[in-house]
Amino acid sequence: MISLNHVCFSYKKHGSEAISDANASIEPGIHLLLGENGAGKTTLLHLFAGLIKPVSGLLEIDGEKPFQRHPRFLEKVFFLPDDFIVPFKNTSSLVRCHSPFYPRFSAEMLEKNMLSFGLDMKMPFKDMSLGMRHKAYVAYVLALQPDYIFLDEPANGLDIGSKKELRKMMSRCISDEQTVIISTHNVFDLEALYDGVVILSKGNLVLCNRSWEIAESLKFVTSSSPLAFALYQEPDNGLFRGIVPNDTNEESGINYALLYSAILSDRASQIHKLLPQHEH
Amino acid sequence: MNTDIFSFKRLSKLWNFYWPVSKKHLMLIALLSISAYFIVFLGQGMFSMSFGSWVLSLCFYSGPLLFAFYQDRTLSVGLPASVGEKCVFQLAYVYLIIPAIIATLVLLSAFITSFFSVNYNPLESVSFLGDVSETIGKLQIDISFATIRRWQLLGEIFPPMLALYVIARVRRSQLLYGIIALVLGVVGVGFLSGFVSGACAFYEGFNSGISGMEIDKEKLVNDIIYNIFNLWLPITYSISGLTTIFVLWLYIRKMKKVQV
Repeated sequence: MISLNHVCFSYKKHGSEAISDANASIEPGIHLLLGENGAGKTTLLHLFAGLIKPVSGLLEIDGEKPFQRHPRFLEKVFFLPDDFIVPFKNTSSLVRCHSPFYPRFSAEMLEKNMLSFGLDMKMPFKDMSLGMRHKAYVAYVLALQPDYIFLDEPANGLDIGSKKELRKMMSRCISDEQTVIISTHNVFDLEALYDGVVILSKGNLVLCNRSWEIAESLKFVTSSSPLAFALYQEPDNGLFRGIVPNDTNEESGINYALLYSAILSDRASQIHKLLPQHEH
Repeated sequence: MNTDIFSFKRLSKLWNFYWPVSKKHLMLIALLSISAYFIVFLGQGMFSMSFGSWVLSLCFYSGPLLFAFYQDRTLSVGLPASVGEKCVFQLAYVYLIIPAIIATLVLLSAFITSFFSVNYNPLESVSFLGDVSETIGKLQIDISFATIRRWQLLGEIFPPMLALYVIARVRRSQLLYGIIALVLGVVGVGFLSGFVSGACAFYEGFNSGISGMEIDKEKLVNDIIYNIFNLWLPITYSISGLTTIFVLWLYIRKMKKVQV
């Protein structure tokens, strides 16, 4: 489990806090990380991966402080940035040189993933398009099978078919014990997979809840006329999409984009009142 | 089982990780080392000695630049190896593996050429002080070449250490800054050497001047030079050695705390 307790981080150069007093507990599952540009999403992922150190507060993953960078911790964690630069010729070389560090790496899973994406292990990275390289990296990272995977815009550059394949691949490869946090602006790409959502705004962690908690407490509705009792609503091509309290215990699908807009609006407090708050 | 203790197995994985680029680097070093030797062997003059020495120095100094090719810090910092293992690997590559390969190839080349040459020791010539050893011989100064080489090593280890530290420290353009660090390191040792030798020369000249003794001019020059060497060598290269230790400390500290 990832546990944040009053975690703060600021870049020396800029001075302002990139992450401000973050408190959350993130359990195993696939989590969506949302936030506007400069909200601190990549910074948060860097903190989780131990690549940067919190200025204050306590960040622990399975009881370990990521920044201590113990080998046994680093074996369980992998951060895939959106601008990954790999100093190897092709996927085959990457596997030969890098995968030995990860005891749970599965060559079989990688082969299957690469096949799903229609990629060749021997194809040089320099001959691949951006989208193809992304697919290769994601296929590889999933095959490493670390306990914690942090993905920064994994669907970036992927065509529609590949995004479908990515959804299937993640369902297939990620176990219940693994924690995957996906930072993306395209919420619809992997919408069906998310077990939880984390929302950042201007360095503040404004929401961290499981999808089932959100679905139990809130209902996401669409109407042709304005919703009378909506906690939040917005017009969308002649329709009105809104969030209402879930009084009927019927679970609706979660509209993450709408939830995101609602949490950043002045109606956020009303939504927070209905969602379970977790002690840290 | 605590897998965080120093592991030679992980060290070998690090070697494997860096192998694709280090393979090319080592092949280049091998080619240049052999070429340097034959330049000296076939040239047998002052220029070829200096040039050969310079090429061998470049080979040695290029060690840290391997790590500048791994630009993505998320990959190298996130690699499941301890800081100790990463530091030991880098230091061993720069200070053990590269010199061992250079020395082995030069010795091998010398062995081969020994079948074809008589009364010539190109090994002694292939160093920074090849021309200096000749000068020492002509001046009949009682300082062995081996002594000079031992002190000189303390000067040679500084530029790669500085480069390793700078490459660990900078986020972008590691290769460029690594090269700049090497140049600054070499120039820095040169300036230090020049400054110290100048100070020593002044000191010796002053002492000799106020002694008021009438002595043989040639003997005077030889004595001054001998005393300069006896002062210049330990002062210059002790400072260089101590600075290297300081930069090593900075490097290890940086490797522990590097942030992406």
